[in-house]
Amino acid sequence: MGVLHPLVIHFPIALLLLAFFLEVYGLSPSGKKYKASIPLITFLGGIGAVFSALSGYLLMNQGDYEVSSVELHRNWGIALAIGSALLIGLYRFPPKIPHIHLLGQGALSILVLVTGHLGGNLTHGEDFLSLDKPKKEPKQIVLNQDALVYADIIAPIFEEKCVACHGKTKQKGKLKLDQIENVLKGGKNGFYHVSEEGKMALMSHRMRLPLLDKQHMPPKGKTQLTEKEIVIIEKWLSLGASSKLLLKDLQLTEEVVSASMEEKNIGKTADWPSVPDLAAVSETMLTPLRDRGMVVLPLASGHPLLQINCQSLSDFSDKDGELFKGLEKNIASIRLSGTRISDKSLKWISGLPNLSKLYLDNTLITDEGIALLKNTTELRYLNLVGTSISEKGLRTLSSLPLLKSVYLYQSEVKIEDMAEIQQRMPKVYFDLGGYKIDTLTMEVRTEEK
Amino acid sequence: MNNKRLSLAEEAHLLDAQLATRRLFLKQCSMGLGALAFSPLINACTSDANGSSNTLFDPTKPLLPKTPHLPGKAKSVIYLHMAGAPSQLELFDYKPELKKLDGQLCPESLLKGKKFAFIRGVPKMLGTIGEFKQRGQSGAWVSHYMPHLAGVADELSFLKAVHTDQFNHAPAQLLMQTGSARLGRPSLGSWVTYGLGSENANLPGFVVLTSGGQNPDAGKSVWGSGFLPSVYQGVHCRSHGEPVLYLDNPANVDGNMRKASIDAINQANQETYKEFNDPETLSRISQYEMAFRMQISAPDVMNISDEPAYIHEMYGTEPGKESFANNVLLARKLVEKGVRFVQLFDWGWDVHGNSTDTSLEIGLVNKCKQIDKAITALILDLKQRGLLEETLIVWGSEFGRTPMQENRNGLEMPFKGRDHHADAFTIWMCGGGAKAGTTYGETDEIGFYPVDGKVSVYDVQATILHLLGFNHETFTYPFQGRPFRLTDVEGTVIKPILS
Ligand code: HEC
Repeated sequence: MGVLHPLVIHFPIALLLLAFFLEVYGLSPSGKKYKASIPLITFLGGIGAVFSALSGYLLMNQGDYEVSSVELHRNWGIALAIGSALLIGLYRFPPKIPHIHLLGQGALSILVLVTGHLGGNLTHGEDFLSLDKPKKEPKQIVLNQDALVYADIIAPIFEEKCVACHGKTKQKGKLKLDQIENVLKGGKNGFYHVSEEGKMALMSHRMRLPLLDKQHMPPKGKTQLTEKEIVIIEKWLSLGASSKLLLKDLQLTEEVVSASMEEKNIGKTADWPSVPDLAAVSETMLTPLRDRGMVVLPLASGHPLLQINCQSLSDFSDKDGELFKGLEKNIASIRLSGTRISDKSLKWISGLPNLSKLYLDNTLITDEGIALLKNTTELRYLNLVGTSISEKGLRTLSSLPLLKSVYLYQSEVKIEDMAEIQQRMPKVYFDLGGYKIDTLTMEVRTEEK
Repeated sequence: MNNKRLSLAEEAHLLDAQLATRRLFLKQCSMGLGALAFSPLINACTSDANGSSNTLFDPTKPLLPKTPHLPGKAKSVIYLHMAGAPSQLELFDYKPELKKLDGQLCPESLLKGKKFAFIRGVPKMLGTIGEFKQRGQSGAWVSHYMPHLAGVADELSFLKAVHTDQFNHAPAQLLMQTGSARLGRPSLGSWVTYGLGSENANLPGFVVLTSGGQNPDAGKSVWGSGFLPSVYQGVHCRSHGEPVLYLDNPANVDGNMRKASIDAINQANQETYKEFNDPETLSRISQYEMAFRMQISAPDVMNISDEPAYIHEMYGTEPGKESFANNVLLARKLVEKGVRFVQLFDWGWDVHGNSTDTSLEIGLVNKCKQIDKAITALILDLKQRGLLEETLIVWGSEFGRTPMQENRNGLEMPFKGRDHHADAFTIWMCGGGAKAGTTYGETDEIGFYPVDGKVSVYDVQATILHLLGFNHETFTYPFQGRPFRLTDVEGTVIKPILS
């Protein structure tokens, strides 16, 4: 019966508003002829209102909603049901006071609107009518081993994947997952965080059920938990589910930790520097770069680090370095391939603390310029194809701790010098290119069929 | 009537006056009302349930570069599709056991409940003709059919147990490239250009190059844009002569005039857009503009004959001819210039054994010769330019071949050949965040079914999208009232091959 509530309510809303409308219309001569139908419409609407109130009451008692948040909607609903019953009665007698029906219908319409709105808030969420909803940006936090397991990792997971059904307004299975106290309280079946007689904790049991199982959480069709998230939640539960537990207490394997960080798009991925406190730059700051013809994009949506591509700008020169003022910290990758820059540009480039990819291929830079890079400690990738860089310039790179690959095709570096350079920088991959592929022959065997 | 020739302006004026009649007014009124009633229906096709249309698509700048969900490793893709399906059992999936069974009748148990494209009755098993060796440090199996590629085996990431559910070329190609065996879905390249745009405003974001004398069986739909705006469909370049026709201005027309005429066309289109509000009109405008810019940039990029001799030597290219090698070199040039997705189709891999060209002994050898050196060159060339890290190369086909010898119509075939096989075949990836030197997945002793690491076509697609920075489950386009994705309701990223 309770499940019918969302269906039934549409009748009183439509009918009672219609009755009011007809009362108003009835004031004008052309609307007179409809007046006779108003009592019937009001009667039907009133019955609908009573049924809505009843079914709503049953729905509330099923326990999926918190009483305090439903209370207001309930009270208005009851008032509406009583009000409509009174009004039906009123039509039975000739009106003593002029326009009493109109006033009554008006009051009832107000009740309908308020009740309906409050109910809407319950099903669609408080802010479903507000126009500028705050967009939910994925939070950028860095996970280190000292992160709080509940506050930094689990709470955001619940927030994202469970709270819609287990939160303030709805509590399916009488379970709330919005605050740690409520998590510990558990739902209608209580909370077992330690496995009892080898039984899994209720929560992990339900998370581990096959997707098609009716009891699987989150239900099929909703955003699912990842394996890593389940592992973390289970570990946390089995260790007592305290809010004080730190990530290192869980003693997860390195693999799980890094994968869970990666999945949440947070923390340090080997490819890019970790920048927990860096704010994203505003779009307006990027306009001059875009107007200049550069391609400027964040690494991922909402990421503060930028990758910049100037490759197609054949007139890009040293003086364009000016344009990057104020963005120094945000630049993670810059592609200057084939531009007209010279050693002078290496000055501003070396002032980019988070630079991890640098393309200088086919430019006029020399060993002197490259020597300036010794402080860009986040540099991982350096493309020097088609430049006049020689072994002398390469040596100066040995102070870069994260450097992973350097491309030197068509540069002045000679193969003879590489042995020594490689020894100095054993972890770096140097590619001198110039591959030749000998044409190998493959005999065509014509066998008898 | 007078025979005086009207000037252009007079003629335009006259036409204008003729148009503004009472009849026209009435006509527009009725049509206008119809259009009014119809427009919510049209919108229902392109906006989601909340009525908001998609944010990724700005019809005035459809190819504007965009950011993916996560920092992707790959920035562009070169997809090498061998249309017709090469034999994995000759090239990569080594089955010594199968060799021992050569010539024996296929056990009934394997045939039960199976449908084949051509095999009828009980066929014979066919031992591999490839001479296999483990290559490089990774020990990947590559046969003598691919002697050059064998040398770069350590760069590759093999999927040995891919399966599909289609055993005919056209539907299987569609499934591989669009995620559905039926027509109407956008191709992988379209999805990617829709999601990432292009970093080079002067070239198309998605280029298609074909070789082997024929287009793939599934036709141009394999690079179609389906329900995505049509700007995202693949631009098919011609395989001999000029890759793009009419890039030169016609005689007596100079650049300024060309620009002026395109501006005029665009203005007319703008007005049409104001009237009908169809975003396709805006796409058309941006395509005209792109075409104009391509006049300047394309001849340079599209022309491989400017490449130095040693590069031609490396790839085995012959400028001017239609060849896979030429396309591969062109693909490198395009990716270098910022083109997002280059799709190559090479036709002629359907090795049934019914003619010399389709025989494992001769035809397959010749096909391999056409691609082996060129692909190896592509890998090494991208590598030396520092671009392999961010360019994903995918090599594969729509399905594999049976361990049984084909017996079309129950008869013995003139040459050795194999039938279509959907249950297990090999695909490899290289660069762009695929883990170099890995082999994932294994088939049974005769290469019939996967026994380990079985992956589906959707898993492959999900992985490609992942490498580009997309979550394939949330990368959607609203159409007909629901969000669509490339992988529909399937697909898991193949983590073991991620670097
Ligand atoms: C789409 C709504 C929905 C979402 C999202 C959802 N649940 Fe539930 N959950 C339910 C419903 C409905 C029930 C009660 C019915 C039942 O027992 O199957 C329930 C019951 C439960 C119970 C059992 C409570 C008890 O004491 O019986 C647990 C535990 C649970 N959910 C955990 C979770 C977790 C953890 C998440 C997030 C990862 C989650 N749920 C997300 C709808 C949801």
